[in-house]
Amino acid sequence: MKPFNKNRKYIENEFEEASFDAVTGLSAEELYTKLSEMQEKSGDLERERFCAEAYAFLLEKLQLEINEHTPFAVKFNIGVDYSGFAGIDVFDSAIFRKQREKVLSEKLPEDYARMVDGDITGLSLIYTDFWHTVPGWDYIIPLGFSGVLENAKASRKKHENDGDARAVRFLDSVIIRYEAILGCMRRIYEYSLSFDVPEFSEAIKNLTIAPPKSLYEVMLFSVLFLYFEEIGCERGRTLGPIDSLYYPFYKSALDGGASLEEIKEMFRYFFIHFTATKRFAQQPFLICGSDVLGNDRTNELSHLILDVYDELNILDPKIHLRYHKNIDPEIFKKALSMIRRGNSSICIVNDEAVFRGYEKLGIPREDSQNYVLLGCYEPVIMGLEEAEVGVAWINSAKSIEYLLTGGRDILSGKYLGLKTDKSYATFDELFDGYLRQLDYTVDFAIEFAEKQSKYNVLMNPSPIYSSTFANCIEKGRDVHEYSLKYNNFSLKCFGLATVVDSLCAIKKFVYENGEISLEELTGALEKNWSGYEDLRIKILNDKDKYGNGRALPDNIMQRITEHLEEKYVGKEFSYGRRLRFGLDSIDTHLYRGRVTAATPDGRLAGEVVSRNLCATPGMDRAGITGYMQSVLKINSEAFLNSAIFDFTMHPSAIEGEKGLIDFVSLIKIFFDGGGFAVQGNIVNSETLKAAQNDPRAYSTLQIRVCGWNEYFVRMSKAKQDYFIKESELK
Amino acid sequence: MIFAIKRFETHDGDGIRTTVFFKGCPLRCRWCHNPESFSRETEIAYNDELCIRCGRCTSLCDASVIKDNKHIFDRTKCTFCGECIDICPRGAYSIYGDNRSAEEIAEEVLFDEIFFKGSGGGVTFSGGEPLMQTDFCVKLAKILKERDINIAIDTCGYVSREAIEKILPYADTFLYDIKAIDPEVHKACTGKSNELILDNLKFIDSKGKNIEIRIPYIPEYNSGEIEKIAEFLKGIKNIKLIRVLPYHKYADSKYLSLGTKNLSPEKIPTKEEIQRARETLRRISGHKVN
Ligand code: SF4
Ligand code: SF4
Repeated sequence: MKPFNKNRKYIENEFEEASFDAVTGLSAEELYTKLSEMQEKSGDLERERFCAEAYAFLLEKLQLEINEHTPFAVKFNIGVDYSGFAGIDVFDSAIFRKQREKVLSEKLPEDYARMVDGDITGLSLIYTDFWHTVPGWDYIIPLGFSGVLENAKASRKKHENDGDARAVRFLDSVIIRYEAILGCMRRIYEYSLSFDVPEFSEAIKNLTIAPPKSLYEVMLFSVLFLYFEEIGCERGRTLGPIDSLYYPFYKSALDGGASLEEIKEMFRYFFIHFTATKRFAQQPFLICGSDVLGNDRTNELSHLILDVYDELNILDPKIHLRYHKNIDPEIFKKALSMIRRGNSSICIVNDEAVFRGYEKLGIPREDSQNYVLLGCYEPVIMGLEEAEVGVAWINSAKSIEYLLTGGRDILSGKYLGLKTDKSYATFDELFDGYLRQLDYTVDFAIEFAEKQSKYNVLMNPSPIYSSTFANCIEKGRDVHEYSLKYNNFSLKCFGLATVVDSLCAIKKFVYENGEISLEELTGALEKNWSGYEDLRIKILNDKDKYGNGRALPDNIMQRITEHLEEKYVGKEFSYGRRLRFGLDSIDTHLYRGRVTAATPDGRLAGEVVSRNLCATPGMDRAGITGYMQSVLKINSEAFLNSAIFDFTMHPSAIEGEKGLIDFVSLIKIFFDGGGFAVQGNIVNSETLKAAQNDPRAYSTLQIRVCGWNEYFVRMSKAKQDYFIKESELK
Repeated sequence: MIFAIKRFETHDGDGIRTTVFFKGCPLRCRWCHNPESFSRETEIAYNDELCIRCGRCTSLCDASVIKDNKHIFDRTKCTFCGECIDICPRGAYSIYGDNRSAEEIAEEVLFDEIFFKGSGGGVTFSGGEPLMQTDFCVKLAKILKERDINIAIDTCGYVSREAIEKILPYADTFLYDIKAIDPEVHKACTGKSNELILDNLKFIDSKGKNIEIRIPYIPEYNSGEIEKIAEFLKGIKNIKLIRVLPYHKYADSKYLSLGTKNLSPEKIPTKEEIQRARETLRRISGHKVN
């Protein structure tokens, strides 16, 4: 194969530019039509078998393409639009979505209608989470496809003898799907023979009959496994801790005489493959971390991986890095220097906070030491835990609205909150009223999650994902029948800075200086502040905002998060599931913000509500340390389902060798002080230009001027131009 | 009196620091980027570039009028009540001058103690010239020292020997500005001669304190002084680092908004010039240069 840099251009956009060979199967449209017909007629068919057969049909008929420029040569035509992030595929649109809607609307009609209302109005997004999975990579890699199939067959035999019909049904569906996978592999092999990809053909042949034996094969196996999982509407949201999973293969490659450069070349192809697949929200992998004794797991491969990633200058796949006190200082520094250079797709998570978070669920470190992060940044213990990390996102800012209107949603006019009286004699009474409103929304999300959990297998049986756990294969149960050691589910609550700033404004402007009555304030919000612009500006200019280490807002934030912890975190529900809570928004704060009425913090209707643990945009005015102080006051370890802190800095604030050392100290201090996770944004000239055109969106961007930092958007145009020019020269 | 407290400073001494900017300075360096530090009095700044002529401030204060879409600001009428700051949607006004006690300032500064301790950082007294307010400086330093906070004094050196003696027991490092050796050049650049400054530096050195020298580099003003400065610094033993600070023309709008006459030079140094200056300093003085 030619060197990577000669081939890169043929790989980066290969999914967008794919042209599938019609002789290899049916077009995506034909597949969709056929699968839709099957779904239509599925009626009373036993669901697992039906889905397995639909899946087998799909694998048998989908079209293939071979790209001679990459060792990860095969692509499948599953009808995905790759113009942006990869869109939904045929199985998803023809089968899963229809089935989920059918099941929920038939089985839980009232709750379903309420859930849909919540979704439309931006109150909450409640989901059935088949989408965030951590395959038990350490179980399947040593087995390979054929080994899993053998285990499933052996287990089926045992359960048949024992008369466990449920197990037999489940295992049958595993067997059908794995036979389909092996059939598809043979098809790929045959087809690949007409191309100049001998190593690929050989590896495919090997993987059809045996587990991966080389570094290349384990990478190819991972790539294929993710496809085969995803095609059936289950989705592996991490490649796992690849520095330890692939380490033995790396070692034997070296022992076998491979050079480091050859190994690096392999990783270049591997990473760029994921860049090209454009999976929604990107494809993560994990490196580093500590074991239960605090030993560092960083190894030479972790370094090599980070070096290759850095050199490629890509954002996808994205990196999760586990920090702990004994982490190899060089790799930590390296990661931060990458972030400093503007690579914002590295997320660093603090082991200690995660371990403590698991302890709050009663899970000891012996087990939690093997957590990985999936999707954006949620910890899940690989092989032992199903966490349903995205069951619901709750817009906590809506509860402010309902607090003031007595339960009525301002923009839609519907009563979606708790119907209550709207007068509160004191601020404390009002605060309690807020918590009641918030609880009301959270309680519904939990109730919904509880009710739908019975129908998981009916909605979307997950035999491929389940097959990655010894437990599921041995017991003959789907993972969504709660067959792992730890079965949990998770909610997320976002918009809290908007809430805190709003409560501060109410406390000061209504209860303290009496500038406006509660009733009039409610009216002002209904009118989107029209006629109250002076007051709105005063509120916006007021200093008591979360994100500055100030007592009043930070104290309100603490009261809310402590309430959530006490009332919900770790609480046990059906099937022994414990509730995990998170304070992150992903990007829902944007979409939900659009349909959220004005709030008392001066926010206008439709503007974003606050994201993750961030301050309201533009309101963190005390610099990064002040910001961190606010965040550190939150009991973030209780929010295991992620409590991520995003920061934005200009490279000049941490320039030079000293700047890097200080940056390392800053993040270390944050973690050692209890911080949960960080992702950084160190901006360059493009961002500065964007900030110049859209100052509101970049209101917190700080620029190092001489001996101090200034807010970029508050500088004169001439000064901004100066910095843009300067950063272009860097 | 101080005019600002800035956190997460990484350019003013070791580790992560908070810098307290004292108000008032005996020099008038033509290139100064902190004109709000000149006067010892409270000042108001109004930045016309930010104003959108909404009229909010004019309806509550006589200091501002809007006529023909021009905002006329008469700062002599200002009583520093701060109301315009609360009401302006664009943040066009700022007040420079904070009269809080040393205890109050210490409390605010100590807020970042974990960051100082974790990074080997501390607090930097800057300005303006902190040692112009010797007693206040010492009071603040004493409180911080009780908590074992590292203290750096960023000084222009144009202060009494007594002031230096008073702060010495609390100072861990001096960040010391040297602008010129030729007294005439110094006078032309800053308005004052430099004997006192050079003498004070020798005195501090004799006391064995860590010193970081800062040399602002301004083409055509002090660019001809580099060799002489280097020769002089050769004799100062306790220098840990010499930093050359290239002149930037950042502060124009600040001058304008304070109504202060702007004498800032036009010419900005090239990268090569700065490299050369660093090289010269390194070669002649024998110290570490950055
Ligand atoms: S309040 Fe601010 S924006 Fe409005 S006129 Fe005054 S200075 Fe200008
Ligand atoms: S501080 Fe008070 S007196 Fe001074 S300009 Fe502003 S409103 Fe007028």
